[in-house]
Amino acid sequence: MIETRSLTKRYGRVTAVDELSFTVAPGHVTGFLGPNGAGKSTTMRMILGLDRPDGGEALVDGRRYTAIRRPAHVLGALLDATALQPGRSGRAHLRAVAAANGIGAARVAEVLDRVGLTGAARRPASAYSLGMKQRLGIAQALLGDPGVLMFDEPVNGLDPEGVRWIRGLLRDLAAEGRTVLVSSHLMTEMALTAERLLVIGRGKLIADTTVAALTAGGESLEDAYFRLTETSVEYGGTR
Amino acid sequence: MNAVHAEWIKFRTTRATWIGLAAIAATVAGTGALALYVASMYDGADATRRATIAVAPLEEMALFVAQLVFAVLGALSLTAEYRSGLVRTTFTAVPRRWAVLAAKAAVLTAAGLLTGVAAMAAARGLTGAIIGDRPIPEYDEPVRLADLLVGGPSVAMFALIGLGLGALTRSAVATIGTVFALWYIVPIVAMNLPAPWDDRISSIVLTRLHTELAGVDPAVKYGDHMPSALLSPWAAAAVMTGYVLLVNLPGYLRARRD
Ligand SMILES: Nc1ncnc2c1ncn2[C@@H]1O[C@H](COP(=O)(O)OP(=O)(O)O)[C@@H](O)[C@H]1O
Ligand SMILES: [Mg+2]
Repeated sequence: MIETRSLTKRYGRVTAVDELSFTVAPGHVTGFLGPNGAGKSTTMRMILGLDRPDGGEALVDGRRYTAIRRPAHVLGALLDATALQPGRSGRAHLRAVAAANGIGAARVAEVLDRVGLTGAARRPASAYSLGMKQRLGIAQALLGDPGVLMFDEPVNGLDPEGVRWIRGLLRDLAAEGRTVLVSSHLMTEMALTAERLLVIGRGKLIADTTVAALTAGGESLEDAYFRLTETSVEYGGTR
Repeated sequence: MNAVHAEWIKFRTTRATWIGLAAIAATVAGTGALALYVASMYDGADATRRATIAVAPLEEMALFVAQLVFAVLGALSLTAEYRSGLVRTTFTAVPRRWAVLAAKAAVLTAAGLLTGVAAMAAARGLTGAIIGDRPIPEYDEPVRLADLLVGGPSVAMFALIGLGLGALTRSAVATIGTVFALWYIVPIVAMNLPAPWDDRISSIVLTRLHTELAGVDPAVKYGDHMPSALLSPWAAAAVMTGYVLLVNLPGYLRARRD
């Protein structure tokens, strides 16, 4: 479970995240949807304790992330799949991340297998395609078998086959009873993956809804999304 | 301990680590080549010329290179992560930032201590074996263990200064530029200051502290052209520790905020 309460972050005069409050529950994929610059990545960084909020707080299973002793067992995250040291192999990278949470090499081999990277595990990360890096990042998030998973734009730059694979994986993880939060700026993508939707614009929560409820009125998802985010642009315009 | 294990894996799977160690090994081999040259020069010289032949302790060259290599490795330890973005993964895996810095410091200290002693001992062993029983100053008396052991703390200190400056600047270029100046330029400037500042400042430059830690006065050991050591071994140890803390405390404070 992920919970934010009046979470706020300012960068100079830009309010990247504005009094954001939401709850992400286990058992289904929750889409975190909003146009570029809406504040999705910033929210995720604050949940992980990477950025300090200017107001409010974010809790994971009722605790601040930074207070969790071996956090990989509670929350697994993929923020930026390309954040790798070029000369290090995927396996060595995962072993280091795993070791930081007391996780051994056997589990590293398991997650590499789950994402289909066993064959490439010993190659340097610089030789990986973007799709392979995304898989490696997902393997990294799975290391501690956490109950909460958070992925920032995981399908960006993937080929259709990779996109399909990630969709299936996300749904499987949710079906196992995990909390899964996935961000995207594409409504069409979220419609295919998520059940619940948190829509944000300019750092504010615009809608906390389900895909089913959005389309109930006969409106297409795309239209519903633009209607929602247009409103946020108007809010922004009055500042 | 988990964080230390993680940093150890990173340290040994970083290309720069192995390039740096290879550079140190090559320098040790180079001291051997110099010793061969000195030995052949000695053998070809007549008695009066022989009496004038002296060598600077060749193992110091290996130490000198090891100092720079570990300063760079210390610098890259954090700055390379900031550059690639990996630092976010690191802080996600270990949210307490002091624990990350402490783990990096522990790995760099251990590797620096080992490498510093090993480089000194290897270079001294190799050159000593080549010079053999030729009565060349420095090589005509048994080597003091302390002279070799101080290479460890010296190299570790350079690594930790690199780490702290890296945490402070988050820039590999700025950090490596600074340690290069501290390692190469500052000692030369210090030696050329008017008396008594030449001795005073030379006593506290980074590259000289290990001789004082060993209780050696370079002006006695290497001749009058070298500045005198003014620090006792304890004072040298305190100065070394002080430098490390001086850069690592602000480095930690910067790493803590975002
Ligand atoms: N480190 C930063 N410094 C300054 N501004 C930032 C920083 N990170 C994000 N922002 C700004 O905050 C806003 C939200 O960005 P972000 O969270 O990346 O949005 P999203 O992930 O939804 O595309 C944007 O206006 C962005 O320019
Ligand atoms: Mg983003």
